[in-house]
Amino acid sequence: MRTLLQILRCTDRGILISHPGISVEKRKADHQHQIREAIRIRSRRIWIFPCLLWCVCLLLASPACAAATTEVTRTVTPVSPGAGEAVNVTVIVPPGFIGGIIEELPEGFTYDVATLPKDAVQQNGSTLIIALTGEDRVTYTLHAPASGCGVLTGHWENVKEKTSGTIPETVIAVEGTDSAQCHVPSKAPGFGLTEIAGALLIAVVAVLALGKVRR
Amino acid sequence: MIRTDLLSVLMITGVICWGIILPVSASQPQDAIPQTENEIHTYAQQILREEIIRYCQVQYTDAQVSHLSSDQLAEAAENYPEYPRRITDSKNTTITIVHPITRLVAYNSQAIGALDAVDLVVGVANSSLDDAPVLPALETKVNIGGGGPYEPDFEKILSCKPDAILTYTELGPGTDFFEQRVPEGVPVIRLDTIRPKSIVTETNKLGYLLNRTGQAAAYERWHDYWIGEIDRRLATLPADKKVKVFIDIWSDSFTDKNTERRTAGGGQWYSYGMYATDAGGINIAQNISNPQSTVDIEWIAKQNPDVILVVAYEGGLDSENSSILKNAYADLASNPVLNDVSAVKNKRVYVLSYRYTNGLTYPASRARVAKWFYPDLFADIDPSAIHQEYITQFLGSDYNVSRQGAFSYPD
Repeated sequence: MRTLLQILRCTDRGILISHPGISVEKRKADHQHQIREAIRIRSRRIWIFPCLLWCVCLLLASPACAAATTEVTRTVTPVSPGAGEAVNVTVIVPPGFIGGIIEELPEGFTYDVATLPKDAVQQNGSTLIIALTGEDRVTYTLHAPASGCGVLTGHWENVKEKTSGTIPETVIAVEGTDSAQCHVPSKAPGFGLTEIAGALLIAVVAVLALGKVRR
Repeated sequence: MIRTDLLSVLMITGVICWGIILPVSASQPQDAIPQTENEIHTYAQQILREEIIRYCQVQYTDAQVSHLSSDQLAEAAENYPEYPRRITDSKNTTITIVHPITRLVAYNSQAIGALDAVDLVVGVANSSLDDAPVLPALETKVNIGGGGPYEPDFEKILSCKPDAILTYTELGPGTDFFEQRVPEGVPVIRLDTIRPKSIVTETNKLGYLLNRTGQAAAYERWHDYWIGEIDRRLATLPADKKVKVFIDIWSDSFTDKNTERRTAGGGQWYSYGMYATDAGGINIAQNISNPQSTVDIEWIAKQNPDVILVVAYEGGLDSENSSILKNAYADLASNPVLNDVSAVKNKRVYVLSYRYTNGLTYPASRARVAKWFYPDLFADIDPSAIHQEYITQFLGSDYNVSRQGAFSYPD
């Protein structure tokens, strides 16, 4: 690949690559062949790059990319609670957010109450689902176990924009517990599939493009 | 070659990225009907919260619950807080709408005029054109055919590109005609607005769905004023003064009427039996419950009713005169078996057009019946004036009920 690019650059400048010990005719014939090859490859690149650009545009308009522009954050106070102590978790969403916050509670931590009405919160085992209809944040309270630690993971679903993403993990360790032992719950699916699909798209296009160039 | 590869990749990715829209139906019984802006917004929030949670439950847990699709949720969120809106219709089906209804096919158009919602209608049943004398705009709508018990043309319904269909609970085509055939996402709303006890509730529900709550509230005030006035007067009536009434459901097509008559028991025939009891009478056929709701004419003579109230499937706004109702009167009053019945002897046989009894004109028709039953108690009430109020105030028409149409006989 690098050689071909070098040829391209050289022919662009009208420079012949010198190869000692080869006849002038042979070198001329090689040079013409190199130019033809370069033009052929260049003509491919002419439509490969717009195609890639189109794919990028498509991704920019896709929910996957929109997801990247939505920032949902979580603050936990305190991150090192005492045994049985209340832990306040605040999730902040961008203005105008309408959708769900899906929090996976660490083992041993129990949900108590949230700042939203009961109909906005649903607990399914260790999964806490909170519906936000314009509120910019929600704070909910957990109670720490006697000992242990865990990782609070979460997702968000913006149903208005049809985007989704993950909320950065937060480690919560009861005082005296080694946080290095924390168990990370497995991820759940959602609109996040679109991000994977987007990444797959880029990878596949890139591989295809490279494959063609090498041929 | 690369183009083909890319196309395939993009198609597959597109399916993954934007998902597949799945049919869903949310369900939650709801009794109170939001009327004010605050109530509508509050309820929209409740619905949206519930649907967001249901959606996330399915996406992130093992729960299997019905929920709005991602497209429907996005629309609901886009139109929030005015939408989503939700009712339980009279077939006990939960109807959730996520955007304003602007292309309604009104197979049942009973309440459309009073709600000032004719502009939201794209198609009407052929029978709805009977209301054209007071709602001329109906003639500009797509005539989907049918009406009442008769099936409309489904292709014409589809050609309307409806965003909702309004029909009856029992009258007319059933679920095999509507619900199972309509395009995905088009709700079939079943509200009658013809049964006296549910007219206001159903009108309020429809007003809420069609964003016409102000008009629905105005109708409710008018309805309740007159119903309250009639109730107040009837409450003074001693029990032993109540008239015995036979309700006769009259249709020219009912061929056995010389030997037997169709009547209305407690809840049969769209509550026609209530026209007796609601107006302070005693329905002598209250306990009749055979499927056809028929009785021998000798049985009627034996019961000797004080009044015979005929509900005729004739007449209405577009009738030129009341001769058709007079026919119904004569058909019954001239039957020799009934010669000695008090109602016939005392000329207390009365005829109402079903287009007057059924629907939002009920306060007027109830006043008419109550006055027939107890003329002294309602001497200062003019049922025609009540009817005219409805036509003028709610339909904005200069149609004159005293000079046009055929609503009742003999007065």
